[in-house]
Amino acid sequence: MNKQTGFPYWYLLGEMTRVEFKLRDQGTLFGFLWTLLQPTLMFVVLYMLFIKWLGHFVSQYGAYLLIGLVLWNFFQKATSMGLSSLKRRTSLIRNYRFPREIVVFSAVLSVFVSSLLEMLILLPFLFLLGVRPNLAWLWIPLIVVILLAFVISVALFLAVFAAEFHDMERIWEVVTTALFYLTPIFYPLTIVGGWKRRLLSLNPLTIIIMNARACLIDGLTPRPYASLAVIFLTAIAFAGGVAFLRRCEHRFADTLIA
Amino acid sequence: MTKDSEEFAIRVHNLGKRFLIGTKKGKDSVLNTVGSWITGRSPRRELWALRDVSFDVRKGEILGIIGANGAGKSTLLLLLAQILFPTEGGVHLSGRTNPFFQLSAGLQAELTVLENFSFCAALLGLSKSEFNRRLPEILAFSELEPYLYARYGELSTGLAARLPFSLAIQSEQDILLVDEMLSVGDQAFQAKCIGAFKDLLNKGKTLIVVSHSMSLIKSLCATTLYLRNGRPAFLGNTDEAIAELLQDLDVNVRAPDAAGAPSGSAPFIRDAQTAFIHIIQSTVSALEEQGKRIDVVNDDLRAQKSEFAVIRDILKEQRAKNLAETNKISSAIESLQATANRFTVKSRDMGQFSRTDREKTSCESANPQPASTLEDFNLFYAEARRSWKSVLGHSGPLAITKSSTSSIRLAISSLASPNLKKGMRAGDEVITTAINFDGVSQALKSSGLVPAFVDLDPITFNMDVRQMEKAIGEKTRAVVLPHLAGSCAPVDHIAEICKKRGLWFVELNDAGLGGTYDGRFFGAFGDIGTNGPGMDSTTAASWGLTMSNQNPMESIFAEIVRSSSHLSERNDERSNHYDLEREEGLMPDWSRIELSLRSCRTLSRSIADLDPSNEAAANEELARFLSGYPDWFLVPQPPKAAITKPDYFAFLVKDSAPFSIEDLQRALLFTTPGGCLRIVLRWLPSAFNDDDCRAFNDLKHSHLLMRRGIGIQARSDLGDRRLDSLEKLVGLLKPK
Repeated sequence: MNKQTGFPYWYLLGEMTRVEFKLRDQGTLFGFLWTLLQPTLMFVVLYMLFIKWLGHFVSQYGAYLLIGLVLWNFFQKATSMGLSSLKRRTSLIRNYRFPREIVVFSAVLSVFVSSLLEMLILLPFLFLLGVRPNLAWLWIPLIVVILLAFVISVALFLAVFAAEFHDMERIWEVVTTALFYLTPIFYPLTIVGGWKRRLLSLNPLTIIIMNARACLIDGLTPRPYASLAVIFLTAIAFAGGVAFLRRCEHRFADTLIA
Repeated sequence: MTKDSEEFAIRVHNLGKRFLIGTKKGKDSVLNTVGSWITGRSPRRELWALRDVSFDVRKGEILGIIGANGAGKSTLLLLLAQILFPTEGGVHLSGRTNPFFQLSAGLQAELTVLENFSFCAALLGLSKSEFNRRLPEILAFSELEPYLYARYGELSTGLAARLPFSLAIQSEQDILLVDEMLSVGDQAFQAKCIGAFKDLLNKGKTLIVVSHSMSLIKSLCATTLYLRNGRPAFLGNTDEAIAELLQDLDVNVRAPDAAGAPSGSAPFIRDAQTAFIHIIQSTVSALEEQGKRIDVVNDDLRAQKSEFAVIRDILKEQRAKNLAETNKISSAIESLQATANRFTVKSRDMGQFSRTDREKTSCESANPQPASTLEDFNLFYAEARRSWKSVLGHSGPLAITKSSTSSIRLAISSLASPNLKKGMRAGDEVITTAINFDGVSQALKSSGLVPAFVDLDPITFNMDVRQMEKAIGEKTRAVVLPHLAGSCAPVDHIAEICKKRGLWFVELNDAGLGGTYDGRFFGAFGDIGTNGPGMDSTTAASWGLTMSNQNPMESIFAEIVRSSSHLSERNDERSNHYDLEREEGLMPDWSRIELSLRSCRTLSRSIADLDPSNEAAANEELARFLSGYPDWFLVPQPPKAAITKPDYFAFLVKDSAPFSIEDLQRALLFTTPGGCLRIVLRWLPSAFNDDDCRAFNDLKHSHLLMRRGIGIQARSDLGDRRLDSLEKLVGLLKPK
């Protein structure tokens, strides 16, 4: 066997991401605008509902909510796309030999690309909502990379389970619905007290989103210890996810193909 | 060793593949998996798709694989491609490989031909630079250059098939795994492919070809593996392998009429052509034979068909009958309601009838109206009772009465009936709670019964079981248990004690129809139980149910209900403010039966839908809110086995609350009707002289509930506002 150095599948990863992205939004402007509709609507509804109440706790509630929603939206869409990726790509898996994790990577990346575009479009709105550029923005790429790695790790596990169990999609729907309320997307953690607050802060997503807000809105650097913990955890989860997928490849190949 | 690995492209040793096949659909769910962990049973069975396969293929060689469908050919290729993994044995490959089975797998109809080339190349493991370098050759081979920017979906099938072929052949795989690839594409292109294969072989590439086309295998391969049911049947010279296969087919064809033609005499076949002729001949004769048999079977089938038609008709009839049976109750309710409308409009005392009902009646008045005789009414009454019984799952006697209060009166006076064995007599003692429903005092008084009051449990705010047990004395004959404050006592426990001590048990469930305890409806635990529509009992248009699990009650109920209508004249002078019903008797009129039927239907529907009511949710929300102020409020908690469905929400305001109970009432009345529990509940001791009743102790908790209990009508649409006003009030009072 000829051993190739490094990761020889960048080309495949890029191609598959491109195909996924094009097919999902039909590669058109309108397709893309449709994907913008959902977060926009959520923003308007939640903003109108909670500005009176939660506005007392958060100084720039609009920006706070918008950032939370966009990041959450990415998490939710990417994990559900990742979850179904192996199943959706059964015919590729049956006919071509390539590292299976690429299927999951490309599913998440394709959502990531459209989320990036969303963010670009929503940036002017952030400006309108009173956010001004500051030096702390330099942290943003790092935060985004951590989020991406975290989402991929989650998706890797989900995809393997979904290949084995057909009700995984339903289960994850329920879990994400609960997670939406358990993550400070539209409310600040400060309104929750005591042990509940500590519990909610254990969610890596909470820390990532809070870091993003701290940088974008308040111009603060990310909280060092929590962030390092998240980076550490994400690295473990990522490596674990890939290892898990490879370990289970025999199993899900049987289930998918047989 | 090194020499071996250089010489052989593929080494397969003792290869086996087992699949676990689910025995039924929908096997792979988390739920089922957890279920199978618990039950320890696996819903799968094993299937060996391939076993004991061993062979080596040298570099530059080509191996054909043949076999019937399901013989394991594709599984073998998938194993060689390392897409599936062996259960036993192993595969060793030297060189880059990629299978192509369904050649269109990776192709996307919406993308252009070029994009598809690029994507497929990536899938085949090419890098970007490799792809760019090879693109001209690929295009030359495929002859697709003019269509490069056309959408792939727009190509004709023949052209479309060229795209993946060209890529696969040009992508420099060391080992090519080919599965039935030449079934598409035109003749010229096929010839080109075969030529390309031969070129590849000359370059030292290795090929494995799976095909059903014997001519293709013959023309390409020197060596062939014949698979039969997952086992290697023959490996070696292609002609001999094909001969084996054909012989098996021959046997298979002959198998049905083995008796007719001795299979042992099958000639030894060397020449494939002879074999073919032989097969065709025997097939034709077998088919002729079968044709005759089919004619016979056809006749049989025709006869059976007509029989089936008869059976089908019978089944249809039965199904219609069953349907009629199952719809009986609901249709009875509906038709009777319609009759009821007409009747009530006709009858003179239609005072409490609502406008919508009257409108409905006027709409229907064009229809011919049935005579509203006493017979009609009795039929209606009986049918309504039957509906209630079926919905409540109650088999004993059941009476519909004029109101909740009537149902309580009926319950208690039936126990004091002289016709009842072991019935109660004047002066007998009845254990009950000091807080009680309207009508209990009057019912006790008129039967001459002496109440003994026990206190409430501070958690459930219903009868304290321990006190009740202690209170049982010589004269005690019955326990009357009202379900209070949207909560209840441990009914099963009390029923058990009563049974043990030989007491009558009367269960009054006049607030919370449809609630259950341990899965049984309230009202079904007592020797006699009552049910009613709850708070509505204060309004005129109401009804009640009295049910019993004692069969003799059937006649006693009927007796009392019938005679009650004559009581009014006799007892005029004794009547007090409780005696509203007495003047009219216990018998419900048509409209009240109809009202009860409406509740009956709602209840049966909510049971069928398992629909948790909005009211329950609203009540829960209130309870949650109130529990946030444990120093101020107290919400009665029913036992865990109970699912109460009160139509009002009850809670207590503690003495330590910084506001008066009147403050709270004002705040609540501001938005919703309802208010203090006093509207539905009575302080029973005040209706008796001190000599006529017995209080067991100071009734501390009963006093507390009476004094500081608040009941709010549970109307889901007002739920938010109730919470709102409570929040507002609490907010106002908090600084104090």
